[in-house]
Amino acid sequence: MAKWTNSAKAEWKTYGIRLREALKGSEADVAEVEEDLKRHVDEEAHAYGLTIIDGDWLRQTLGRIGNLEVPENTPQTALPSQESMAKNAKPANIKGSLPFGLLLTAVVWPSASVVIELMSRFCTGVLFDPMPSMWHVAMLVFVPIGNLLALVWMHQKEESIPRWVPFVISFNLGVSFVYSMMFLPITPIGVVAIIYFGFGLLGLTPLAAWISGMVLWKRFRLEMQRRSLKVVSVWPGFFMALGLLFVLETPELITRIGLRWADSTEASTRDRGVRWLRFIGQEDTLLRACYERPRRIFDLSGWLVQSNDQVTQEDARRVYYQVTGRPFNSVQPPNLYTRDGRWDVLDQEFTWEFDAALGGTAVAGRVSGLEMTASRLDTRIETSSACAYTEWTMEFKNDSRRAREARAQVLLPPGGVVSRLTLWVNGEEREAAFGSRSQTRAAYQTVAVERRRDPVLVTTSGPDQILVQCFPVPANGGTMKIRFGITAPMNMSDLTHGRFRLPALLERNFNLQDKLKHGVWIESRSQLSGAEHLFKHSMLKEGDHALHGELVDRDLIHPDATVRMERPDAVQQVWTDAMEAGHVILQELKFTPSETTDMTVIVVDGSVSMSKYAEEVRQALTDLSSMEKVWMAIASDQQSPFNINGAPRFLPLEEALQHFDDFKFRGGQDNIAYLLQAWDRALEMGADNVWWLHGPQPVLIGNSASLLQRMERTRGNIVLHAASMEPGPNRVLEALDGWHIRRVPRYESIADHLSAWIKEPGTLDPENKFRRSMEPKNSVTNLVELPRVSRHIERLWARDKMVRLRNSRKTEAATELATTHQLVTPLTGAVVLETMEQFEEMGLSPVPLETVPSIPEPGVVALWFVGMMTLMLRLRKRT
Amino acid sequence: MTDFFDNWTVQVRKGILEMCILTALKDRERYGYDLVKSLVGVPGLGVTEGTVYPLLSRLRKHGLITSRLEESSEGPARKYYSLTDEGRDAITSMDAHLQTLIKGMNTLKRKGT
Repeated sequence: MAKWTNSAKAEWKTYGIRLREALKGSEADVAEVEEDLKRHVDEEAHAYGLTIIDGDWLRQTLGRIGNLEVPENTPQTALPSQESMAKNAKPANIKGSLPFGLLLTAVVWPSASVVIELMSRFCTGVLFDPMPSMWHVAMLVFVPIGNLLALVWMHQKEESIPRWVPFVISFNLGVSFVYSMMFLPITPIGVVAIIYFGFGLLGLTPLAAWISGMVLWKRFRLEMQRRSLKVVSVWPGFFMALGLLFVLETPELITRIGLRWADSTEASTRDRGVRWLRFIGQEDTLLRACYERPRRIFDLSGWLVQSNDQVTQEDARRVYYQVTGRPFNSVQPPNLYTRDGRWDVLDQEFTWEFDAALGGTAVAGRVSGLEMTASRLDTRIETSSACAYTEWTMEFKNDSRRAREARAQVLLPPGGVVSRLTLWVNGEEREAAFGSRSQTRAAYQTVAVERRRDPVLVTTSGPDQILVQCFPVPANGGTMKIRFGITAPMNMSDLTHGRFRLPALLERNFNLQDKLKHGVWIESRSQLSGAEHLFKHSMLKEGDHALHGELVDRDLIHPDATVRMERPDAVQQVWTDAMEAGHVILQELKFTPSETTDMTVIVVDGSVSMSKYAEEVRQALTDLSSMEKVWMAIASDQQSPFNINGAPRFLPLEEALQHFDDFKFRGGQDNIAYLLQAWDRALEMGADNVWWLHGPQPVLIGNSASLLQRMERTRGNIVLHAASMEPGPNRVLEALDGWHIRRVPRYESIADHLSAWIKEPGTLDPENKFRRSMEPKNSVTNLVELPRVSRHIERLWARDKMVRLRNSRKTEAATELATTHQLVTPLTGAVVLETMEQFEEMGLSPVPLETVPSIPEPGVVALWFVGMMTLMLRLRKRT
Repeated sequence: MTDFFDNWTVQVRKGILEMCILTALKDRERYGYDLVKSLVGVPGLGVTEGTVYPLLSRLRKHGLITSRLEESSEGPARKYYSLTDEGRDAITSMDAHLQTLIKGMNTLKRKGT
């Protein structure tokens, strides 16, 4: 039997007095009634499993037992009214105020945790996202709200309790149970954190909600028994919560399993994972995996597929590309990630301590607060030499609270080479030092990343492609201004007509300021023409022609931005003084038909980005049918005529075209495996070229080592023509930087380029028509008859020679040549440091100001000056 | 109207409560806690423990029911109540009277229509 505490005994004594008072004069035996009621209380306590009866519980029980109703002695005796009875007795139902402890743990604590997480996304950033969808948010918000409603209802005086009350309590029990299990691994950490640091309550919230939910349920059961109502089962609500969470988690779980498979080391499992994700994967989940840290023990999929390998951000980004065909940073982050709090967490991950890309060679994701605020391109086309020099000046502003690194990949004009780099330090221009690629990158990383001073670095990142990076763009509105110069040959169709493409941004980690346009100014002595919707034509006082316009980013890369030049004087041979004393550089523009080819191997990228170009590609391929031997494959990870059990398969063009229309372009494909096979096939059949028609390659899927080896060892016998159907980053070309690759410039449709190439293979190589050489000055007898031009032809000569030296494995000589001539090549880079001390420390020397190119080129100014003087002298003689 | 109805239900409830207790004991003896819980569960009766125990005491004094104490292995000692012969006669009479009343009321209702 339950033990009565002193407070209970005192309570009973008080009740006994009231009881005797109430039954005075009735026929009932007061002592018997008191004894019966006491026995009833003991039975009640026994029924609830109580071993101790305390004052509170007894008061509640007696309150529920209700008013003493005095039996009538006679029918005529009036009973006291209910109202008067109520005055003498305690309320008929339970407790007056809500229990503080339960309110705190079942309502206040969970509410505060949900609000804090929604605002800060702390757990999401550090561990995993507990509320990946609005449904999850709704379920978690419902826990404190439901608990509060249940508590309030249980304290009402009504005899009955609505059916939803037990359902809500048990449902919340289910929700908090699942989350307690998810947070179980960090529960001990939370406890320790509270003890030692005074925080960690967030991690313990689910457990607290679960325990308080169980207390709530027990109280509810007691209440039901006290009111003699049927006690309902806890399980329906509990399992409904589990079921609902399971339904919510299932798409995510399926995606996570697919992600695990797609990240497997086994090729067959990888392919299955990618197929699985394309079929039933949830893009939002994939995208979140690209941003979040590995889920480790919180990832149920790891247990299901029995894999301990973590799916890192890098892995997830690769898989995201394979599945969707788009780079992860080309789309908005998932909804919940765009909240301020969440973005802050991501900022830290991507731009400071956790920024793996800082100082590295990848552009990586966009960072908030950093934007390009000004951009101008100034180009001078030198008619005689058919060369163009472009200076691109960029200004950045950083409104975030952390210093940022601006990174961008720039597509150069075909055949172009960076020949100048400038950084503004405290309003003054500082020129770059040129050195080996490793030397300049080491200097940049030491000065920028470690010491956080002001450097800018330019290196190549593929054929006709550079990576520009500068750090730090100061926080809180700080700015940074840089400029780089590009020397490029014109693409000459004959002696009197040439074409030119502007450089363009391929990939960037910064935003463009609202409505920012690139200010373009192109001038030349000769007639220039360009698309009317992009450029205006002007004549300048000195007789120069100018094309100018304000171009948005996508215009720069569009074939419409091609500028055409007329060259009525059709100069064939020009010269300039060489850097080496007593020598000159000769350049001859010569159109000799190159040997045509009747064999080729073609790889078509099977990625989804190519689907909109299918018709254009088909047309171009049909044009190739005039060639004798053409083999072709479409890169695909699906079982197809071009993929037999995961192995690339090439077909003769005619047969391949029969399958072309049925082919489904999907996801992002591994092109490297196909290029490798294409290379071997070209070697086997004696072809000197491989064509690759591709879309953007933002993620390197395969391993490029074997292909690099083949490209290096075949010594230029085979050239890869890479024709990009759509602008964008290309990790494959980056990986193959500098090795017998020709990026096909997009002046016109790919079919037109292919047709022209079939007739004249040399047409794609801008350098093919130019012959440049260094000769002793005194050995050139007709020098006075030839136009003298700017030093740009020497830079192009040096770049050509560097390539030849490198291909013949004379790396040191090639590096020295490029450094001496201040060029950014696959072997060399350019870096601007803040002070002379930093240059000296890094073993670098900034180039003298008089040796850098500019607009107009100093040599040209000198020529103009000499020409003007000569003209004046002649005029004076005549007079 | 509500006050009138509430008052009327109180009167009806009080009038019928003793009959309900005797009816509950008609077939078998029951211990107090069990008896009270079964009466509390009757819809509309609106009875509480505070009402039942004084009535049981009164009925016992009138000799309509009798009680005995029995030790229980599951909890406190139980007080079992059962009908006496007078109690059985009383319930029969009460039942007959109630049926007469209901019958008369139904006759009134039919005439009314």
